[in-house]
Amino acid sequence: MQKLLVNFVAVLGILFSIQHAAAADQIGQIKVASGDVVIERNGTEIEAKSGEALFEKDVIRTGENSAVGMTFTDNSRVSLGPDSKLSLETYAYSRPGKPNSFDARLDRGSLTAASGKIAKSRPLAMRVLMPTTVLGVKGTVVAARVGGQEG
Amino acid sequence: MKRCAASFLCLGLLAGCASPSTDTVGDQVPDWLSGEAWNVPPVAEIDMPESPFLAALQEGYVDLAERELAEFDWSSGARFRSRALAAAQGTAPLPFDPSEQDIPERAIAGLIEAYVELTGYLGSEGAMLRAGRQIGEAQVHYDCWVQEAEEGHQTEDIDACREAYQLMIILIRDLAALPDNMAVVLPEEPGNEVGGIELAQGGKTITLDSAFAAAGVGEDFGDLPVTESEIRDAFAGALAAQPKPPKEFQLNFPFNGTRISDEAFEAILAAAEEARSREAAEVIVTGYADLVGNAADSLAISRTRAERVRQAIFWELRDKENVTFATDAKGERDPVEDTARKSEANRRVVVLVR
Repeated sequence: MQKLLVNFVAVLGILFSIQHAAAADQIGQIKVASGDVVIERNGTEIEAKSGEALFEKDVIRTGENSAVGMTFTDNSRVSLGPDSKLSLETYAYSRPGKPNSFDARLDRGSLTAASGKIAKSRPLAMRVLMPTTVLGVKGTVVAARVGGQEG
Repeated sequence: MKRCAASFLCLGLLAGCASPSTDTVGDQVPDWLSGEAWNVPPVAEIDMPESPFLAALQEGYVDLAERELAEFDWSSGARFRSRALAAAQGTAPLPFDPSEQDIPERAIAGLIEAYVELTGYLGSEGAMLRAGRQIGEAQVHYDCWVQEAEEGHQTEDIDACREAYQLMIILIRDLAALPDNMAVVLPEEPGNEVGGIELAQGGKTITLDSAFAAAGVGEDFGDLPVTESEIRDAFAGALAAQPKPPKEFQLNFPFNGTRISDEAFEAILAAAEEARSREAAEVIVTGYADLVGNAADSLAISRTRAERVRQAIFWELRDKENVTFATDAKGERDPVEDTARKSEANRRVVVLVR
């Protein structure tokens, strides 16, 4: 019985630490999602709803006539129009020993991005990586598109 | 081209030889009978307008006028000269409306189609910005086509003008549309001033630092003139989904106190209202203290302040779903006023609603 209790406590501890680690790594949140919006995370797809947490390496995809708006912990905001794909490749904000950085890769579609504290902390800390071009955000609101007209 | 075979014949048959010109230059109606109306070189020598569109019109119409006059077509020469003069003086003549010209039945359909497309580009601010020169050239070729079609007897000339127009319009279709790959700076918002963007591609860099400054990227890498309405259309979906900017509220506290004053409560109500207006609102409450007393006590009091404010906002939002709260206590860290004395400004709670 005592062994069982110890195991139970150990499992609880592990669960807590997983949850804690996950909570610590949350980098942002979905605020607005309309139409067909999914988050690809570790090989699985999650329906992106308002309030859904975002993590580094998440890939966000929108379908036809769909759009999504996100905020990040540095107060930056990113939104995607229809038929878009954005990967949150690197995100570091106020992490000990790590310079602030935010790299998001826009493979297709349309995006707007309003810079937050990461962009203000050092030049070109926030970047939108496009297939042929690197867009460095110095501190402003920008829009970019890859692959043409909104559908 | 050769409306009148010879000047003598033309002068003898003035009335029947040419359709009356409707072009005007200011208040002056050009009289194509006067020597001045055929005097093209002074028009060619007027400094080109800065607008590439007007410059293309001036150049193109001068060329057409000279060709007509070389063939002793005095009325057409005068007509194109007056168009060149108008462009040189800054007024763009409109392309000929085929329905108002005496055009044979078999030629009219193609001209109407071209007229509709050309006037569409002339009315599009964005197309004029990106392809003004080419649209000017297309208009000259088009007017040449109308002129020749109206005369109707020189097939080679009609074909040459039409083909030149068609080649130009293909180029314009490509230039006038916004490129598939592009980036643009949007207007600043409060607290997020325009710092600009830097685009780097293949060792080249473009810096954009004003609202609606844009650049094509990839194959079209380079500065790109755009209009605000084009950008609002092109990014309509993403713009509509853009979350509201985060908003901060600040409350101050009495010395060594955690009681929420009436004034501070107003800020709590405002923060709650702000959270209510947002989807999936986050309310992040951070407490601070002034630098009087020991750091541990300051940290504790800043935590109590933050917690009280969180509870008050939580209560105001008790019927609102999908709100997340976070509290943080900074104690004596990050003072807004650099003083070790009592400071109301430093005794504060900041509420960030996101």
